[in-house]
Amino acid sequence: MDRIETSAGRGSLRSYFTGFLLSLALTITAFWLVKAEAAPAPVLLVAVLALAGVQIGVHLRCFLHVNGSVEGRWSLIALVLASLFVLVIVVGSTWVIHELDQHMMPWMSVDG
Amino acid sequence: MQQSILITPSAGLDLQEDHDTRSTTLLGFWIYLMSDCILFAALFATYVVLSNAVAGGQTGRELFDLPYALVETFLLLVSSFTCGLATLAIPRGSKGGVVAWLAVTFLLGFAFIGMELYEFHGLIADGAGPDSSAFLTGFFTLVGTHGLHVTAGLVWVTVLMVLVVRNGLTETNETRLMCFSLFWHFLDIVWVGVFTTVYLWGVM
Repeated sequence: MDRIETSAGRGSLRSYFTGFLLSLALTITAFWLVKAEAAPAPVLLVAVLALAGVQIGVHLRCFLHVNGSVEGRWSLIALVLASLFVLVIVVGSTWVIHELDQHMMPWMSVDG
Repeated sequence: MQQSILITPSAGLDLQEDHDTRSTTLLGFWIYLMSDCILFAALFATYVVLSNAVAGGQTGRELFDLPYALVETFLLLVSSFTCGLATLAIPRGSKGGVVAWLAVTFLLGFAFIGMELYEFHGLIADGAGPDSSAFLTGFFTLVGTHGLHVTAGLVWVTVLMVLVVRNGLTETNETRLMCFSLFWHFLDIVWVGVFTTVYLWGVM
């Protein structure tokens, strides 16, 4: 009986194990890069953000079983929409406040 | 609780109907998670914007202990894995397996919260409490909100263990377990963001 087939729980030991090992490797790599100061800070930042992005993808795929399947279509749409909102909120706020900060007089800076 | 009493005897109902109800419940829960995601996005944005506003106090570089946060990350990651193992025990009909893996998940989550509270305690004792700078306000709000979610998850998993022991692996309990597993994996994803944005970036 495929009782958990239609739900978000289309899991197998294999997918959980793969996800776990990949996440472990990604986390340790990011940690090591920062700990060893393997590159200048801006490069390092891009690298760890990219690693985090990949790890989130791994989690979604292996733990939350998000895939392009027909049953999962609506969850995927909700996820894409939420990601868009997240992007607008995080990138938008950072950008706007950074620009604002650039145009402030020094004594008004939020970085005080 | 009331719902479980009402729905448990319906195990003999048409399987298709149960299927539909479950997919709807899971989709609804998923949409809740997505809205929670947006809540966290607002907190992440706030933290990032304020991360340099240390008001002459200590910066993340001075305050954060990266190996300590790495251990927290491992605890949550392993608990995500054991939570997955609990859901894998459902189709096998192994009630004991489900409860055992949920118990392991609980203990790992509990250890995570313990470490987080200890970290918060240390920061506050060091004079780096949430009231000392905008950066720390952002930090405590973001990390604390995640911690509150994990704490809620701990309460939830305790209730689930009791329900599974009492009523067995009924359709309703199965749906609840699927929802919990979505919630727990989701919290691990948020933590990946916290570990990267707060700790890794903070000590650069």
